[in-house]
Amino acid sequence: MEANIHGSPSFAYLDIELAPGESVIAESDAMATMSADLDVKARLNGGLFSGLCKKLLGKESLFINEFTNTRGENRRITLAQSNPGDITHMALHSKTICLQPGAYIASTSQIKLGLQWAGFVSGISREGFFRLTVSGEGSVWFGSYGGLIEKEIDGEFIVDTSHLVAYEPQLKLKLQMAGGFFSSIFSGEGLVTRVEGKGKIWLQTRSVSGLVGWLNPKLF
Amino acid sequence: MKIETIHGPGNAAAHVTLENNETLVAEGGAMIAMSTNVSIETTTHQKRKGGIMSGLKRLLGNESFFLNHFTANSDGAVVTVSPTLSGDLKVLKLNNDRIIVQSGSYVACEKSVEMDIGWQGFKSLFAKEGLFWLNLSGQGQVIVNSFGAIYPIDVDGEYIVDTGHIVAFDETLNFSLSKAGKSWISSILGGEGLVCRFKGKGTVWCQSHNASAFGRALGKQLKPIKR
Amino acid sequence: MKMLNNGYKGGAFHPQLPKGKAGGIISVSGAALEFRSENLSFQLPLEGLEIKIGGTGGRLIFFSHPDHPEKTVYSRNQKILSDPQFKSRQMVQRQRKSAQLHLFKQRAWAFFSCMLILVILSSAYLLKDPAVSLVVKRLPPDFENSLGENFIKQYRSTHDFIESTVVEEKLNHLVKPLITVIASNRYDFKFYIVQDSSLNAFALPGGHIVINTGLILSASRSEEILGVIAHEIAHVTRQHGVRKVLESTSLYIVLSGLFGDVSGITAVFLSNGTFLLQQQFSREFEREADLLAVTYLNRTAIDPSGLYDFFAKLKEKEAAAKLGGFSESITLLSTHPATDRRMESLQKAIDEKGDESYRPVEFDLKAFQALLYEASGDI
Repeated sequence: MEANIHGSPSFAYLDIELAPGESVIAESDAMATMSADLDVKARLNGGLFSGLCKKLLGKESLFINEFTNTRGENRRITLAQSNPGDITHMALHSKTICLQPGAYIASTSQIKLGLQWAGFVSGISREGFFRLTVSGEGSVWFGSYGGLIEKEIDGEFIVDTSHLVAYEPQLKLKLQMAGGFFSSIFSGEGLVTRVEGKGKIWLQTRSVSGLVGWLNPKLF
Repeated sequence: MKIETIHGPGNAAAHVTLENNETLVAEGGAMIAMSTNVSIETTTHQKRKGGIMSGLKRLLGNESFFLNHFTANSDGAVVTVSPTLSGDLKVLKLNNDRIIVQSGSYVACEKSVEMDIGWQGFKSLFAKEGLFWLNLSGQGQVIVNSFGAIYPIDVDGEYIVDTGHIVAFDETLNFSLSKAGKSWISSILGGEGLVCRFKGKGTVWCQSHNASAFGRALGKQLKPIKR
Repeated sequence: MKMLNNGYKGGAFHPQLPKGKAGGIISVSGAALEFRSENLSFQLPLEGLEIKIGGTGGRLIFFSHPDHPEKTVYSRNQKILSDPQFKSRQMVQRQRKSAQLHLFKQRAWAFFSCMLILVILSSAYLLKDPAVSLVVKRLPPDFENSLGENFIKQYRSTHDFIESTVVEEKLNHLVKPLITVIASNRYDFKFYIVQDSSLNAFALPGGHIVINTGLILSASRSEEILGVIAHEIAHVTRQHGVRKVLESTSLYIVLSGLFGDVSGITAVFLSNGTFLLQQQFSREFEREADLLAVTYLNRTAIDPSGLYDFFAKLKEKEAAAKLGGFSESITLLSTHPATDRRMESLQKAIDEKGDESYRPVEFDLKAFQALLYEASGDI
């Protein structure tokens, strides 16, 4: 399999050349173009129960697509997310990565998609009750709205919740108000996430909720 | 005419350098800057062809009613054009052939390029594209725009393009609506639903991102219009 | 003659062409189909030639030959199928016939589609009026009111309103008898006076009525003002404003249903927020409002000839403006064109219904005008 990310960082898209017999799993509706003879199968996103959980509580899709090359030659597929932004590739070596809702784009067939309880605060604050986890041996691609920042944490760090894209599972996340109750509401920072521990996080340089917050007062 | 694109694929613009008496025909509102040795003429149609009706037809094609003709009065005149949405620009060269451009993707072209409105049938509606398409033919350069990056796909046989990703294609290709995989159920459950299946031999230029998908994602969070 | 210049515009795929394809000229000779372009010319034998319809919308005719799988020639020109050279060959003939049948089917389908659109459009047009009436009657009064309020807000930003409680009280006193005779209490009428010398008044959905100072100051008796107000009230109770909006938007809905996104047209339309004010009501709406105004005035026992007098005054002004070449004032006046026909039908309505004895309006018009003059002087 040969995968290339083009158009970074503003309009990244993922070009994958599948060798015979290879397959790739992608978020529903991520496919932009593909060879006509690729085999497409819709799969429940990790079993019915867990799939439903993801859909209803984790804000992920109920179904994902598996694209398989059943032909004798290489076949091409191009994937993109719905929002403009960057895409990054991660080679997981039996590691796990936690993804915020909407960040997942595609992964190789050996990667397992799972769920992790994200906490009540996260659920109530509309960030989803569950978190998508990807683990196993292989590649995963995830994307952001805007550019991506990779950051190594050792100790404590505070990030705006809407800008968090992914993090390593050993990190502890605590949702909290940016300041006191009032300053949180008036400073416009709203919810922040306190990250504790040692590991990597990925941030996006823009947030859809930020754009929405800017647009809404201008609509009438 | 020399066309140089800059700042792609994020927020592309094109510098068009004109020789004396050369004319660039651009969609109304596309010009963002130009040198002073350029004269502008606004028409509802391309010169020597059509009239009000072709302007109306273009309006139905979701294009601006007016076309601006930028003509250089001396060598080295520069006109800079850009589309409304973020995204890429691509220069396509026509050499006695004809391409079909998705209405809304057209930005500008040389005067020698002939422009006509085409009809691709009702399938265009289901393909989430406009009902009318621009047919560009003849000789010369054409600037098209996209939401996202533009990449060409050389089709020989069949190729699948998701709805809302078509920018332009050769006239030797035809597309039909179909399912993405072998089964309809899988195609619908997997969220791909209908896709466009291109058949024949030629090039289709695709945009990496789907403006209406982004619009939908955003629109859900925008407040409803107050009554 | 035809044999000599039988060239058809087209194109070809050939591995030796730059990028594998090029445009060129196709000609049919006795034994072969020949393609010529700047870079390359080649032939396909007529015997065993395969003809297929394809390309965008099935508008291209492709010629290929099993012995030359790398080469394909195509043309948009359907006349090529009728080339005399094809007629003599049995094999090609069959191919040609099936291609022509294919083309015919396509045309029939396109024709059918067009007819379908026509049927949808015309039925939408025929059903428009009853549908609009049906919807308009079910609109909640709050919706109409907020629509009118929005326009008032926009109008206020560009015009000077008279903000005087004394003037307001007097005006309300004047129109009170009129409002009490309206059968429905759906609307809460609000009156605004705007600093504008032209003889005009207009009504907005939800009962917002705007009167120009010019109209009040030039009135010679109270009945003129009451006549115009009754006319505007009739516009409101007959919901002419929302009808107008709905009719224009329903056209948009039908169009967008047929052609996809026509946001360009409507953006122009709606960004011009005051389009309701600038648009004239149809003649039918105006006549309907005139007649209803007469009914209202009769019910209140107010002399409806005031409205007639107002139109007469308006006509005079229009004529004067035309003479003086003040094209600007003509456009201002034209929201209520005082045509002869309109005045005739108004007079007829007054004669038919107006046999009651009218009571004099107890209102000191001179004092009101003086007050208004003073209030407008402040601005």
